[in-house]
Amino acid sequence: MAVAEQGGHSGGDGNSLWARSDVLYRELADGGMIYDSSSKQVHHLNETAALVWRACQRGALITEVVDELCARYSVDEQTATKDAHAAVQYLSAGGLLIRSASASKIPPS
Amino acid sequence: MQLVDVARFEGLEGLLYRHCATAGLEIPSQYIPQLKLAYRQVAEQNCVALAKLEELLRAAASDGLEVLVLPGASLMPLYPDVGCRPMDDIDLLVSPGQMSAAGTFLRACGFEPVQRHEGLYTNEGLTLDLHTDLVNGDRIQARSSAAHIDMSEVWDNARVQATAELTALTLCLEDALLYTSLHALRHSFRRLTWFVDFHLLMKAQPDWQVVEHKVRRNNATKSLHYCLHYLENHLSIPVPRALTTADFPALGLVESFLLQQLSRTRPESEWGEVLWSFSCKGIAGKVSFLREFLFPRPEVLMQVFPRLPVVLIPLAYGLRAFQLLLRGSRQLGMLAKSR
Repeated sequence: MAVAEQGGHSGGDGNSLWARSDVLYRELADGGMIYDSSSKQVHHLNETAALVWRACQRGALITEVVDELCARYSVDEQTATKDAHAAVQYLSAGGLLIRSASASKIPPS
Repeated sequence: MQLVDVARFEGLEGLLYRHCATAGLEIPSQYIPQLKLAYRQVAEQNCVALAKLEELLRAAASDGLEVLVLPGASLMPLYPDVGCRPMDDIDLLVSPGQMSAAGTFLRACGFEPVQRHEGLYTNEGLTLDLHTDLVNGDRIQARSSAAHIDMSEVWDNARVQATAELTALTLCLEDALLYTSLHALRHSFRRLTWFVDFHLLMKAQPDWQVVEHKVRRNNATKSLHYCLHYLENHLSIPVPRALTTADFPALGLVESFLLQQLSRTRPESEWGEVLWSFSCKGIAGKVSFLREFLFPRPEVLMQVFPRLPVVLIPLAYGLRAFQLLLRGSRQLGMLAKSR
């Protein structure tokens, strides 16, 4: 259950990012929404960010996310990679992802 | 009026946006920001409200309080997602014996009672409305005689609904239908959302034999009939074959006329309670029902005039008479215009 920021693989390298399991995620028609009850903040996700969030929840690799973006939105790999990293950055900045080292308590789904 | 304007007026922009987005229907570009904003706002409000509600319900349960979530919050799982149905407040059912304890619990959780509105509490934008029955009979007692709902049966038939949107004790489908029809009628069919609720409840496949049994026992046959009639004849929504409007006694001339007016002058129409009075037995029953609705007890009337000082209660009845005169004239004007 991780998205590796670099290297294209997850787990154990300190670069893996995991979705926080204590926040509420809602799927919407044009993306998703996360409610963090601890900070009382709502985060609106576009389709790419929602896709990355789901990837973080199910343990996909960043390369898989890029492939999915390419297939779904008919964009080239470079654009998809850029978008995926931007989404990861947005989610990280919002405090919604945690590093693998501190995520060891979260059981893989 | 354009579709987008109608959707905004009815609070159904989110549902329209969602439907277009998932059905691949192209929305004219000038309407996308408005629809998307409304959809996202409703989703955010509902997401936060339902999360807070679940937290409260867990705390209430550990305090020994039994709380049932009434429609619409309880109907959220029937919608495609949380952005499709707006909620002004969340209606909760508690037993009369626990009403006081529920109020104490809510105050301890930071909720403030709304002045002059018994059972209404608010905190950080979330409004909770506590009820002890399904028709607001504690506010207008005559409503309890118009629909005799057996509350012990309601509690016995309640079910735990566990979905991603909400895990809570809720009405069974059949009681939810009954509640929604009474609620829509009480508010003169003013909002289309209640008919969307009704439509989605019908799609959830209730046991129509149970529905029929319940409405007959609870003297709610007419309110269900009006709702089904309205759906079928004014919104062109097919009603289930298991229970059609043909199964009910034919509507009287006045009832048919008022239903037609409800449709023609919606959402400004105010004939709902008049129509509901037809559920009362005899002329005396109808008059008594309307008298209490028009001139309720002082505590309720003070809610109608929230800024009027309590010492001026007798004046409230004069104001009410004047208000009714104005509203009545307006309704009659609309009647004349619609003809």
